[in-house]
Amino acid sequence: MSGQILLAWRSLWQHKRRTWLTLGAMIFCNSLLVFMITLQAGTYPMMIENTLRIFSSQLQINQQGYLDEPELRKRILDSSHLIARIEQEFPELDVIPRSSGFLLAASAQRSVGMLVNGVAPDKERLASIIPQQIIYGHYLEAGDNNQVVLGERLAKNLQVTVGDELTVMGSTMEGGFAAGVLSVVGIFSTGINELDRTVSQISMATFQRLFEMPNQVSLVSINAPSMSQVSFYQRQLQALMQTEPKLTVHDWQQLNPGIKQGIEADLSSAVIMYAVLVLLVILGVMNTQLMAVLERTKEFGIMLAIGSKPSRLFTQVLIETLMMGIIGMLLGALLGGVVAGYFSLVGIALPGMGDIGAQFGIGDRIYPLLSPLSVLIGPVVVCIGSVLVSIYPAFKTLGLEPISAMQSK
Amino acid sequence: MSNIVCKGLVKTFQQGDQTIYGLNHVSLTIKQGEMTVLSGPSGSGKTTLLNAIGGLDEPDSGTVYVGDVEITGLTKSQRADVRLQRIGFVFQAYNLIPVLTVRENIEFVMQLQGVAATERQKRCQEILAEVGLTGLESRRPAQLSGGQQQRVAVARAIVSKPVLILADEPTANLDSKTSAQLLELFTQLNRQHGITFLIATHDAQVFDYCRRHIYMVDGKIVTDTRS
Repeated sequence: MSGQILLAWRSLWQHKRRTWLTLGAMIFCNSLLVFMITLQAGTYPMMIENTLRIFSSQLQINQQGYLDEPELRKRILDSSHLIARIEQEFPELDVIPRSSGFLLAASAQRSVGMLVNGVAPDKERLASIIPQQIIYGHYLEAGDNNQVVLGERLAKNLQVTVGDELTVMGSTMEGGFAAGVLSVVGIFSTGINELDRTVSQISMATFQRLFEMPNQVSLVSINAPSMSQVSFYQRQLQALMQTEPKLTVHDWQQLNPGIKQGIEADLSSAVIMYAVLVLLVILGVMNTQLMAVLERTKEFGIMLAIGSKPSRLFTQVLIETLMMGIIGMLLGALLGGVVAGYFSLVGIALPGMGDIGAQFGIGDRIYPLLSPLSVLIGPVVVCIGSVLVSIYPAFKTLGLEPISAMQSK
Repeated sequence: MSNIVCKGLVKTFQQGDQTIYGLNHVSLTIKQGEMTVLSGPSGSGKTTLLNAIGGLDEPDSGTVYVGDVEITGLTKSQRADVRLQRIGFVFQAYNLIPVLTVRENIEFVMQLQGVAATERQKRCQEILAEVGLTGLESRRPAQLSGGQQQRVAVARAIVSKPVLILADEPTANLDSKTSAQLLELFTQLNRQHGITFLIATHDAQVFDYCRRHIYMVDGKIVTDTRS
């Protein structure tokens, strides 16, 4: 085997320029794959995290059926007790109570329907990005203080600004009249049109008073220390909820099926693009090896004449391709890894992508994420693909006859 | 005894509508240790006979025995194995592997045979001394003269300890002095190791080194004389 490896290595460099040209294509393709895959690997977690920090959380406890049809009456009773139990059992978790309802808001100029979220401001500061997106005024303070923060477009539609008052009206859970006057203390802008046009936030105490829901919340959001622990805590919380048969624990994928679908759709199109790239390169490798086999027909004839079995020539061609594949894989992974590593530190600016990116939970800079999988998967596929396609030129050697092969020019 | 026995060998080639006999019912026995020269005009069937005996080409009919092994009728892979274990080849064009050094070319056959690395090195060193190539082991074929390349080819042919060496016009590309040196080497190997030699050639110089002379015309053995 060592003799075959030596012969393969020497043969590979018999035509240095051709080998380097093929290797160059492999290295370019591999480094491009590494860069693009690490970029995707970095984009998805950011997309998920940002989306979860805006819309939901990693886990959510709510009443059965709430996800399909969110209604005030599908509420969690005695929420403080439930939250205390979870916090006592799992102090490492962030437990965030939230409620949602609809109100008609009227300013001096206009009336607009709005989604109103009841939140615990202190906890919301840790779990949501909205407190950090305040562009005018300040975020909510705890307590029943009739304060409201509005999305930027909602504030524009209502023609209010910080310091103005809104009269709000709606229905309580029991069908009663929910009404009050809220003072605008802050305006936020997330860059997500729908959110900025429809959403407002008030303190949980104010929400519970307005909607006559004492110690009741629509849902409890929960964040684990890391995304990898979400499944574990979902099982743990589900076990804890056994005494509360009407409550269920959902993970982020159930809460935001759109994220998973979006990622899958993006991955599908990316895989097609990668497949085309890989195909072009491995066809180049096949062409190189086919030329090498044709050029070395005489050499193969000599080897057959002095006692090589045809199968040895077959493996010889595959070993040469494997060598080329390994060099291309290592250099491509190294080059792509260095470039991706640099951008994982400084980020890649997306000029003009701010608003569009925000719709998908992506900021104005994206950061490639390097891991053994994201760096190696592309180059390994190219290497394996190259060896597989070189079966064809290798197969050609099986048909060689010593005499006619030795007579070839 | 590892005699070479050919019985009723026929090999034809198509040339337009004509059927040309490369071998026309050739029967022949070469005893172990014989040094035989095969001569005749171009197209007489010398190389065709050599290729048939060496299992490089399949005759249309007839049988070839190398020792107790019938080489005709074997698969490509089995024929390769017989060549590896029993037959050495020396070609007119040397036919060395260009990317390997002298030592690697000689060791290549032993690697195919599965000889251990230390044994390979030892035998290689001995053979290099025997064919007068000591000191040139790290050179590539392109860095050697024609005579030196042919010596490497001979070294490669004998290193596998064959019972038979088939040489096709081994002196055709060599000057007379180098040819004589090569033929001396053949004679020496024949005497020392008892290797059977069958040499196809036009070169009259070769006749002096061989006790048996087979003359072929149109694919037939015309004369077969021993001196």
